[in-house]
Amino acid sequence: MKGTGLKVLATAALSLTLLAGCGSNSESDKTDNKPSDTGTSTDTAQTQTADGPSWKIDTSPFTFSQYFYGNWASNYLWKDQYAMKLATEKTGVKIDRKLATGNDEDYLNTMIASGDLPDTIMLDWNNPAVTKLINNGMVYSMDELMDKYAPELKKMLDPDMVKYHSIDGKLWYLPNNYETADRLTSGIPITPIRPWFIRSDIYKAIGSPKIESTDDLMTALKAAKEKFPDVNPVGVEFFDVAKNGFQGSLSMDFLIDSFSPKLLEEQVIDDQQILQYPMRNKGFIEAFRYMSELSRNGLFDPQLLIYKQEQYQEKLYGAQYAVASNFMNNIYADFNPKIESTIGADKKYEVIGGLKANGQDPRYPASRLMGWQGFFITKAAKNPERIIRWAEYAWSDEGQMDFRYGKEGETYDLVDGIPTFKPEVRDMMLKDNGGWYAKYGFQASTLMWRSGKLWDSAAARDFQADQPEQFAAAKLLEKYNYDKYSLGMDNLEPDGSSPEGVINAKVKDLWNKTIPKLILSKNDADFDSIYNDFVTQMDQVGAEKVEKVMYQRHLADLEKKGVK
Amino acid sequence: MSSVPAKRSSLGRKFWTQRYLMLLTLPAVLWIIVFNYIPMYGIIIAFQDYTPFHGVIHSPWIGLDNFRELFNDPTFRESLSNTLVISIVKLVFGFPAPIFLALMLNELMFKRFKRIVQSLSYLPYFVSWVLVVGLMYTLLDPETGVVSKMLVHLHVIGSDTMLMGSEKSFLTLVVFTEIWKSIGWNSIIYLAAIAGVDPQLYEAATVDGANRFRRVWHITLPALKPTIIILLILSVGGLINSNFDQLYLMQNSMTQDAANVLSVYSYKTGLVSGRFSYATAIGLFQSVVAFVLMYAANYSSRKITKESLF
Repeated sequence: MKGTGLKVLATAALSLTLLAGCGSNSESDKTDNKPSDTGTSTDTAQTQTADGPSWKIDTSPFTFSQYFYGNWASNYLWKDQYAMKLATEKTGVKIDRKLATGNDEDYLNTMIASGDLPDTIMLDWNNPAVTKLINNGMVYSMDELMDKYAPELKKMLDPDMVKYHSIDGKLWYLPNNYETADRLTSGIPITPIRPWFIRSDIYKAIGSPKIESTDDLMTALKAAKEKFPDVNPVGVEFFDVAKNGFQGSLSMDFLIDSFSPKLLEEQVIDDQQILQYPMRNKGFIEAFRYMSELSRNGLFDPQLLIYKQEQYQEKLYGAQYAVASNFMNNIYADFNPKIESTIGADKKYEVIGGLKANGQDPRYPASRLMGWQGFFITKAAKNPERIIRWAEYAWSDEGQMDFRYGKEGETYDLVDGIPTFKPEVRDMMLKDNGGWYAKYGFQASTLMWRSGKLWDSAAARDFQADQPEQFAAAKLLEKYNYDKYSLGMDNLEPDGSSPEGVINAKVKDLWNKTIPKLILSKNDADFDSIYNDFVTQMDQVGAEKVEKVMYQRHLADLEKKGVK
Repeated sequence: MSSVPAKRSSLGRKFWTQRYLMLLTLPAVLWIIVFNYIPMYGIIIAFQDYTPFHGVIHSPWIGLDNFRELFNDPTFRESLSNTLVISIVKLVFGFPAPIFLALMLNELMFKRFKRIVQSLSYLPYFVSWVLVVGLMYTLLDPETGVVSKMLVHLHVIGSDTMLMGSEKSFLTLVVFTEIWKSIGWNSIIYLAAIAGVDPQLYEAATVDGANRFRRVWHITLPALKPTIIILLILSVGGLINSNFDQLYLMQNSMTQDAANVLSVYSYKTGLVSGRFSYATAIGLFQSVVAFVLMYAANYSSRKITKESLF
């Protein structure tokens, strides 16, 4: 009798423990914070005077959770690094920052669909999900919180920024990396394209010819292929219209801006009230025809059309391309150093200047950043008051310096009034970037980058000193830049779940599979017929409806910027 | 305790005598209820214009609008036919393959060799699709891939064929890799069934002068029949489903049309574009068709062979 009772209990216990392992962690995490923020906050609030920074009112320990859109950002996780400790010391606040385990879009959409949100979100301000968060009432408006708890923060914000980022008269997020108008002339030179680079030894071997036009490039590539038959002539980044936009591969911009220097202006057709898809632009298509010519001459490896980024990067680390394209900073700070240490300094890549096409100079649409990510406070936040006050700290000059440089005398000194890292900090930053993040966590704690003369000039000075080659390359390309801000071409595509968004997704799908067909076409007639088929199909699915919506969004962008 | 079950129906008595076994199945039953049955209420959003703000209960009802759009959507029709073609070819070539492997393994005299082959053949089952597709890209690269080079030398393909970027070779690759990956694992169940055959039958057949093929035909295969039928019923039910991992990973801009199967399409509309209701409608359609197919297969099998799953 006793025996069986015991057995039943044992089996039940066994089966329950099997189940119990799963779901308990998240709950205990949440309750951890509660006692600290409710008890002490009111007492200290009364003893402090109302003026002075609001974040000093309550500095008791407090943790809020945050989802960061960008699964690559493991450097940004809070693990007691120097900058994180410094911020916590001053404000009492810690951030439990989380990244998506897989695809960010999936993670975010699942989070929104289930309504299970963290306290705060760092999300690209022009991501389609932003509209959903706001329209579904899932986030607080910054105005409401600032008026109640942090009036000082409101005074600190740049009125132009507030105007640009307000939706329905309210500011719903704080955008980081919003750059002011003088950004085009100050700070690190802007390179708005993925430049193309040529391998130094190959360039020398073919007699260092001038490469100033697209025809020069073709000739140089043919010569390279002759002398180095084993090297792939051209390497470009992966093609995926859904991820990269209509240019397909980010490396295509370099050609597109040569063949169609006035693309952005030409897309707007005012008398028809439409904003054309770039695929209707002749110059834009000529860039793809050029790629096709490369392919017909055996200068372009068609595998690149189906490569993933990692496969391309791997070959680029091995300097397996005569001419290759990548994000400029990656070439100078990552690929070139690695190539130098593993294969040899002579195989490093050097930049090709802007290319003329059909006798015209290229034009690169540079812009100051209108912002990168928005800082959202969700309705799920248990203590929005503390969070908005923390944001005031992060936005303040003090918070910016803590985030970028740390403590004066400890991690940086002021040299001629400009912050300069101590030599040991700077050395580590340049030689062991990963270790530097793990130890100091600068540029990783609050993530609220904001324009400021002090640190912008410091960044420009450091860039010139640390990266002379890259600085020279950026200067070489800079002369083709123009300011696209006033063209009103930001954030044009319709929301994905709207009827036009559905059409837009279809157009992208069509274009995505048309690109390889165009590039692999056997001759110009073949190319033209593939292109014409595409235009017919695009019109069939209703591209014009999207072009009308994009025109309206273009007008809205102009209005927000106060241009018209 | 023992006085309780004195007068009970036979089912109840059976249940009571097996109570400890039942208790052991409890976690699995709970698992199915919690993760399969409870979330099922979510399918009602297929009939709504779901927005997270209103939630599952309060989102506006739109009846069958999603399904009407679905049947007029050319991409949906395309993905439906892709799904069926891939599944049917997989069934035709993939279903008999493990049976052959099991029969061949069973005929091996050298037991140690048999065990080695068996272990090696089911190892690929444990390799994730991410790795398999990565390997395929490497092996099938027209410039550096070993397999590609070999096929070129054997004049199977031209020297500039991109196997991973061609709609023509897509189906072959999908079916071939699927069989390669699962053949060993799927043969285990047949080997187990073969092990249960009474050796006296084989001895008697040998005495009667039956050769090896006769013995396989008259003893081994009939012994496998129930297993084969049940697995076939299950596979027919799965015709409308496809291997999401495999197809999603093998998809690129040149094979995107061939790889667009229902599960990939529903993932793209739902999670990528955020059209939750429409994606749920696709999923619901898939489940209903799967149910009908399985029921039909089960019914016809019961009529024709007297073997059935339920």
